[in-house]
Amino acid sequence: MKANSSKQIFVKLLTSEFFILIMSAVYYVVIGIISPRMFSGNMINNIFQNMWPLLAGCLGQTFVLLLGGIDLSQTSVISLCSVVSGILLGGKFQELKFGTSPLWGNLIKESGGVFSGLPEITGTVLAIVVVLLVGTLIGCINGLFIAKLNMPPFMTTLISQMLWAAIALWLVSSQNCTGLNPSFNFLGKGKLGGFIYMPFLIVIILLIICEMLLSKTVFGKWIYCVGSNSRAAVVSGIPKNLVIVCVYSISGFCAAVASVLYTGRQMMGRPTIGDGMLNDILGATVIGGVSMYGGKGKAVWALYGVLFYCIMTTSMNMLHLNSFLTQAVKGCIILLAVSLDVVRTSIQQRMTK
Amino acid sequence: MAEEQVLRLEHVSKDFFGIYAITDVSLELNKGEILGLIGENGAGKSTMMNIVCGVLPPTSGSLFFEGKPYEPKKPSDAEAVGISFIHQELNLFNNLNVIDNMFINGFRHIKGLPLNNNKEMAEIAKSALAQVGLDISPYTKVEKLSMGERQLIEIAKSILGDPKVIIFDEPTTSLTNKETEKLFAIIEKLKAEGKSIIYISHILEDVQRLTDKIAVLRDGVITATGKTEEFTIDRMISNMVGRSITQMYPPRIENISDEILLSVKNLSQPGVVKDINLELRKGEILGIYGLMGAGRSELANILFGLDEYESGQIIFKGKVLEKKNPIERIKAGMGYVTENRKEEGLFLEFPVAENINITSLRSLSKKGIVNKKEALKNAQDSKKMFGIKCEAVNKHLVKGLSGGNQQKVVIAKWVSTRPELLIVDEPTRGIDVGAKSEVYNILNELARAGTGILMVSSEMEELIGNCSRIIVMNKGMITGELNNQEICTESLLHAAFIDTAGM
Repeated sequence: MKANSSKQIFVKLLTSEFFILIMSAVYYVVIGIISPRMFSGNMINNIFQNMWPLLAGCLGQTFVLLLGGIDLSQTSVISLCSVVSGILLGGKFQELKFGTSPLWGNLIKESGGVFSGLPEITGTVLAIVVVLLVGTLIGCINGLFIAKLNMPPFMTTLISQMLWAAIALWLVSSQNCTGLNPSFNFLGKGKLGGFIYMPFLIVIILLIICEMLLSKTVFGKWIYCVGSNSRAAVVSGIPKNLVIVCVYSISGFCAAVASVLYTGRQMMGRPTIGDGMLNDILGATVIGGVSMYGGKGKAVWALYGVLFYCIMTTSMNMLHLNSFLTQAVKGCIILLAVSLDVVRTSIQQRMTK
Repeated sequence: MAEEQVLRLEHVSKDFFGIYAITDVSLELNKGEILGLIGENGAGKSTMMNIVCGVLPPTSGSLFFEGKPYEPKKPSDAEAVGISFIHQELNLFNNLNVIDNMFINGFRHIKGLPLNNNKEMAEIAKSALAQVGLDISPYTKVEKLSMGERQLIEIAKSILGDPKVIIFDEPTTSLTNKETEKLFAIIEKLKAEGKSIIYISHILEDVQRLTDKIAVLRDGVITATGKTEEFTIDRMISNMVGRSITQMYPPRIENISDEILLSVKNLSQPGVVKDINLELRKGEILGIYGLMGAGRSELANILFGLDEYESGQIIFKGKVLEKKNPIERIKAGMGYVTENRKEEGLFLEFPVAENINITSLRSLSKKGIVNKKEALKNAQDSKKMFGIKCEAVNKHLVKGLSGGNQQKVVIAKWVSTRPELLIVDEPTRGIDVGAKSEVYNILNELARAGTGILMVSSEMEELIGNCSRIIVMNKGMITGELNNQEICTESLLHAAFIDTAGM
């Protein structure tokens, strides 16, 4: 009887939506006991700062996964948007570095970026608007190909990833654009009123909007329905194509937000800034419990996944695991998360029978 | 003639976690005998057959095969003694040819080599196909065959192993009448060869015609067994449902107005439908009858704006509709209960409430924000109105409901949009007698309140029982129209076969 109830508790825990949040706490404490440095303010700060830009990307990915799709192009959007910020707000460009850029002489000039002549705040605001538009537009194009031409999301966004990554490098001849506006950098690392970390503020607002959109609106219901059974969605009068285009646009938008935060933090437009981030974004989202089969997940789950992922990454850096091993461990954890999704689904299926 | 017993079940019970699926079932099957097994969905037919075929072990009781104890542990044990099960959903690989499908469980090899002996297999396949009267090349891909032909391939496959008992589970659901006749002839032939057959079906007329003996299951218990001659259809039904449904179809109080709701003019789409003209009035239940492949569901899809059409007009409430736009139609007041509720009607992973509300979100929301209270109320009202058996509407997932309740959810989701025209395609497919009767009541109730209903079906009885007018389709064209007085089985069949008969 006792074994039965402990098993029930385990099953309940496993299928709970807070499972990964609990796991994060357990993991943190266990690692902290092994190496108390984990509890230091420095480490906590590190984890806290790494979470928010990643979460912005993951929120976008959550929408796409809910549709049963995938967006591999987010990393390129992050890179391209970073480059665009650099071009718009960069300080001085040296001919030696940027002379071979296709934009040399028209958008990229020795005197500085496109908006560098404007008052600082105006320039920053305009640059952010342009960057967000670029990200949204790329997402929209992905969505149009997927919805209208019925192309597989994997292929569409893979091609998109290759294309925009290449364009990002080409535009600035593989160079970093430095000397961005301080107000832009403030978004990536500043503290409002001296204590509210800007990326935290921005992404928490984004998270709340996403959560509301998914749980409270008609549009949110449509996303779940298309992801669960797209044929039934069409028969029920849901504008499936519109939903797909909007969702990929949201994914692009979120990636652009992430780009602004990363760019501001590094204080430069880097054409390779998004490289290698795909594992982090997909991994953290899936760890949070968003199903890759579509129709199941919440925006706030992405937060749980990101928390776990950042604790894990930080702990591995702290333990000085070599970088190859770090990747291997991350891979294993993502694999575990995906298998967990399968196990949970089958448990839930058995429970409803 | 001494009757030779082939299969015997003695006091077999099976429980799942304490809930009995079948209780104390005893049954005998003799050589060369056809046993009809009937019962509502969930009565335990499948469980019983799964036990016989070694898929599930019985909790208690024993089985005997040809007098010897028989304890199958896995499906291949059942095959080894000579029991063959032809499932309702065919287990064929559509991308492979007939030979591959027939030998999928054990390819014949060229002696000593790991290569398939295609020549030998083709010979065997040919003779098996001849036995079931199928005149096709064994190299034909299964995807090119009709549903009836596929059924025959399954039979040919099963007689390859020379089974002693063949179990048919709802073999006629996707067959045309002609194919059904052919199937029955083959079953008779198999019987004459001394094979024993268990025939499971919802179509009681077929069971009456075909079988020697009948066993009726209800809630896991055999409520009646006996020679087929002793059973009337009424008795079968009352044994199945525990009460007598004297009135399967509700009495019709017609309330048909003169106002034309839907009119279709010269609608054509090459290869699908040709020159369709029809009119439907408010409060009318118009039936569309046709055999498999006659273009019934295709027409329904076009009317609802899911599929393209080349020429013609669809006029709804005096307004010409756009070609391919279901959203416009829903807004204008159309609803469509599709033929496959699982694939096209429901979100199985979602609760009942979400499924019911999905079509009426526009009226349940304000500026895009869903009004949770109203949405819940809408779902609860529907649950009450349609008698959907489930726990909390916002918790109970639709996939956990029975077929009949799932169908009620699909109908509820459309009724909550207050449609003026409801297209229902095969509204009672795969649901039990009790639920069928409830669905008919709901539809008649709606019609009485002024909704026009287009009932597409391949079940003649339900059209005759519900419709005031029936249009008959054949090969994408309308080949006949019968009104209330003329409706009878013979005239329907005549119209449905008119083309083939004329050839």
